[in-house]
Amino acid sequence: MSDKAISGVDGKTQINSSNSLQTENSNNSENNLSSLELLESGSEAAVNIGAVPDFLSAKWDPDDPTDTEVTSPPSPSCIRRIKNDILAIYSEPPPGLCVLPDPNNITKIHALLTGPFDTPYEGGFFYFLIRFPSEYPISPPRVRLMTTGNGTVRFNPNLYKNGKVCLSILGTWAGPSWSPAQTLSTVLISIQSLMNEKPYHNEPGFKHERTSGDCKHYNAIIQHETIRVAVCDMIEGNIKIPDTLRAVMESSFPDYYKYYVQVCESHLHLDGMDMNDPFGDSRPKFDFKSCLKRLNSIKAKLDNNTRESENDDEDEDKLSDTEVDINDS
Amino acid sequence: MASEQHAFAYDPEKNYDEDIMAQQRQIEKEIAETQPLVSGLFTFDDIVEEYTSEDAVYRHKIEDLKTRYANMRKTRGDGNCFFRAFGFAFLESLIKDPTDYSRFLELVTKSKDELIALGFPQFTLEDFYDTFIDIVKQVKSPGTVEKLVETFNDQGLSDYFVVYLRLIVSGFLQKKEDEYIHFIDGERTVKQFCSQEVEPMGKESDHIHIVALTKALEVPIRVEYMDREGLTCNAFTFSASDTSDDSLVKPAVSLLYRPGHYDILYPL
Repeated sequence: MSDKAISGVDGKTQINSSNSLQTENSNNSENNLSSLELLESGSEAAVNIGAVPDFLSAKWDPDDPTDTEVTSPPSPSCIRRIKNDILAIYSEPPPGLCVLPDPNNITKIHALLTGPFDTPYEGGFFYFLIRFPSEYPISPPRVRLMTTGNGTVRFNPNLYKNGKVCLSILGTWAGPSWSPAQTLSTVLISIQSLMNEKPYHNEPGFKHERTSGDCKHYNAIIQHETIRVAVCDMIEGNIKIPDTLRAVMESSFPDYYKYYVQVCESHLHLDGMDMNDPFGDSRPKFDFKSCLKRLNSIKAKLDNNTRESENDDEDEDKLSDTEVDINDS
Repeated sequence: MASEQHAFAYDPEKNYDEDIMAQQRQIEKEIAETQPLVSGLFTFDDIVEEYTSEDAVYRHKIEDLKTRYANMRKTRGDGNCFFRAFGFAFLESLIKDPTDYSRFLELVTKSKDELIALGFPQFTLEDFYDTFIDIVKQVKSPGTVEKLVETFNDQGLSDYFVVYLRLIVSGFLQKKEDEYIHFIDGERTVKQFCSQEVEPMGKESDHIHIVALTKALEVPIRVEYMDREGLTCNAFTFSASDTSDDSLVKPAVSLLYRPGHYDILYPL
């Protein structure tokens, strides 16, 4: 007898199963390259549709105008189910997770995931945009990571710089697929489990380090990028995010501040060196010193705001300037 | 091989992903447009050309089917055909002969709490359950086959019905984990197997799915296997209990299996 929750998809299991997928050697490249490699590895791939793994063609972008399941209106049963999914998260909020339905469109969800403890993502603020297709829950939600430094940072072998989240239950990765009994909560928890202690091993074929020390080195890169992009950029306002979620980041920042500083200070010796991404991604040079500087000025600004708001106790409507999507009708 | 590779000229300006996706969507669309989820009735003469264009051996097999079955319905080949074919055929049989209706309704009504006890989230389950029960109750309200065809071709209702049947199979296999673990290939637990091969929509049904559904709902099923060998179809009866003799079982549902697909059969 199993008494475990079915919905609690074990993210690790999925990651392991994709690791064992030795044939899929194209995953360290981005989308376009993957299909190029498929085409080159045998011209029948261009002719035989069956040769293309489903997860390469799966719809994933919440803003894809060609995705008819996203552009067509949801049925009442679909809306009811979406509301239940959201309520389930409100009633039992998973740790490090905050969701906000778009005030203008219930099928669109803004989610903020805080990087889990004891991982290189710790204290980072990862903003995801989620869209329920009209076929939900028969089809899985579409998910995009918005925290990508404007499409320049790949935070994980499964989190592409274009925002694509590679996860089997979303249909964007090999392995166990979506089932209608799964929920928004399942999806977010699975994404959280991608952000683990050693993300290096998420890459298929990298179960073992190619070069000794790769794993630790990759973690240093992720820690740097987490503080630079998922903390500083996010709080400095370099990305559009609903006020409610911004408030969550600002109230968490002071709790993590000491940790951020400690990460930067313990890595200062890397400053000026090339990141040398083990998967060959182009990355900037390490610059923990600038991160420290930015953290300090954010701290000063937030401290200042707190003092001001203590004097001036007015609480504006948090949702007032949430992004309005004119595409939605 | 080398020359074949040269025959393909890669154009760096072209987005092949988009091409492939567009093609795939087109194929899916065509399947969806040409095949209803559950079709009207066909005679075997209607389908003989279609089947024999695949393989001439099917001509003999269709002749064989004609000796035992009057006609058939086709289901859409979307990976859910077994569940959809079974669901439709069984409810249709209840419209024609409601003897088994009360027993079935009682059994499926109890299934909800059993599934929740296994850990399925209540709110997801209730949606599927409510739709499922509504459809089952159509049989008695009073039910007509025309209305049932309409319901099963409503993608939303039809899919929810299939989802719930899949959950029943998953729940049954998990409850009987000790018995079924031996039939699962790969290093997987029953729970993993269910989340990978049973619960997701579009996952094709294997022998184990049929056995589980038959026993979970206590509804015997006969499957006529139409493979490429021999001249006749091989019939196999999945009995609802472990004790009954196959030859004595009167299947409530008869299905036709061609590799990868299930359709519905109507005995003479």
